[in-house]
Amino acid sequence: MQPEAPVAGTPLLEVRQLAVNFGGIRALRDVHLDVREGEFVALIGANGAGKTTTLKAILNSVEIARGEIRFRGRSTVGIATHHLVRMGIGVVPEGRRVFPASSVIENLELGALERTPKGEAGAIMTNVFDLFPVLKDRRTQMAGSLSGGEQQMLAMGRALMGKPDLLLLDEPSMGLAPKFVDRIFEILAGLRNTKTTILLIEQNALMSLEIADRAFVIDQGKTIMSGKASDLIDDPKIAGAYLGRSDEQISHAD
Amino acid sequence: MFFQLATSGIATGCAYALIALGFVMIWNTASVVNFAQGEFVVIAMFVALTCHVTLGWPLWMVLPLAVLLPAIVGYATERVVIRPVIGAAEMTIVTVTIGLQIVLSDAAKIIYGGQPYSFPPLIAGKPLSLAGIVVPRQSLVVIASMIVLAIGLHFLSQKTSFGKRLRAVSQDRETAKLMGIDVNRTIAQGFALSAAIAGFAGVLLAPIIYVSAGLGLPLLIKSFIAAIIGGFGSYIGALIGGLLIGVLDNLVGFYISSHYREVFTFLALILVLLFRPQGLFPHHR
Repeated sequence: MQPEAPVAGTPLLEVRQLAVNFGGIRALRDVHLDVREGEFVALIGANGAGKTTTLKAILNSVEIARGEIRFRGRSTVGIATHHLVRMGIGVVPEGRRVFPASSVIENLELGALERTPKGEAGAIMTNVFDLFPVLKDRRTQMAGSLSGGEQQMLAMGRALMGKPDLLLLDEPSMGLAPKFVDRIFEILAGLRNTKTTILLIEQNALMSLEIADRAFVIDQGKTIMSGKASDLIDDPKIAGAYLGRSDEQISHAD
Repeated sequence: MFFQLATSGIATGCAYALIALGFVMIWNTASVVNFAQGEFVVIAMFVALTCHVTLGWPLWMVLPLAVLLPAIVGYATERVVIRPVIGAAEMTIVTVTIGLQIVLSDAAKIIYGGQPYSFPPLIAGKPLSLAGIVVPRQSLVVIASMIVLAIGLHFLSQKTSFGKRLRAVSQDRETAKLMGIDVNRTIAQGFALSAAIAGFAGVLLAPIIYVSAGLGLPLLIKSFIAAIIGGFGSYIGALIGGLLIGVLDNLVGFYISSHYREVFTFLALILVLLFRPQGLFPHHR
């Protein structure tokens, strides 16, 4: 896959009027979002709002019922997940999903395998170790033996090994101890400063809005708000929406 | 006598071990229990029989062919038979591989008939005497081949990008896609490699047992049991399990009766399932 030069003015990633049916339920009705080059965008919403389904749709791992997804101005219809990754989408999946029976180094190498020329992987790994020193200390350890927070860092480092043009992170703070949550958000803020283009999917709305440039809010499979993160953070509706309105959650697992 | 029997048992066991290894490889990468695995062995045996015995080609020419043809059949198996049912219920996949086993086995029967064929030793010469134990050269060739192949496979899985892809797919297919790995292609290549190993085992085994079209199923059962005894999913377990079954077979065949070989193989399986169901080398996915 040849990386294409982005068409001026078009977002790196654009999702329009997206609808997805999932197990007989309309999981997404009308989601739209866009991520521009160098931007840090957060996609926030309650559990079950459709955040992970949106990510799966972007990666073409669920069938799209309606709408359009464009990466670098080009429709992603019919492009297999692994090709999208090779085209420059790096993913930190929900639940970390490190390769448990492989060492930390092997996990990082797998992140580079299909994306980064062999000669460059070593230098990127050095950067990843600078970013996450704990991974360097544990580099020969099996990934399955790491703590949840360490696995999260490994999943992030593994995605960075592929030099992604767009980094998608799905709930990186989920299930982590508070000190690791703080650490993960610190690292994310650091990545923003390196101008890595990021789409962060998070339930932790407040912390996400504090570090994002822009944000989209989805509820019941629909984008209901969007704007500058600094504006949204002061919006009274946001505060109301993210204190867990369980009656409005859709019943399917997100 | 015991050591002599054990040594030739190890030689047979090496072949079982390799078949079991390939069987486990398919299970690990594709979550498919491939009942047609024994047929890959039979294909190689008949390729060797036709080319070496009938046509008189030298072994160095025949061996690559006998490994390549099952590999092609293995690759095609994934594309044509397995891929359409990937993600279906387990019983569906099992039924499909049993169907393939029947088709391949009957095809061999149609071409070669049901009768057994003998195959000449891979290496000529008198048995060697090592520290008082008389060992046929054939056994040494088989044992040495297996050691070389096992080391080669270990290197392949640890050092090559194909091996790395295969291991990633074995651990987590969905996440492997997120690494940019073409999972379907990797699984098809895994089938090819696994069938090639089975083919190699077929050539090693051909001079030790009579070659016949009906061998696929009994060999599959031996290797299946070997894999379970070793700890299903573990490569080292499959190798050790295969060796144990081979030795057990030979000892029972001599000291008790060759009619009781299967009985003791299954007895070993039952004992392992009763007292160590996770196998000798438990595998964690």
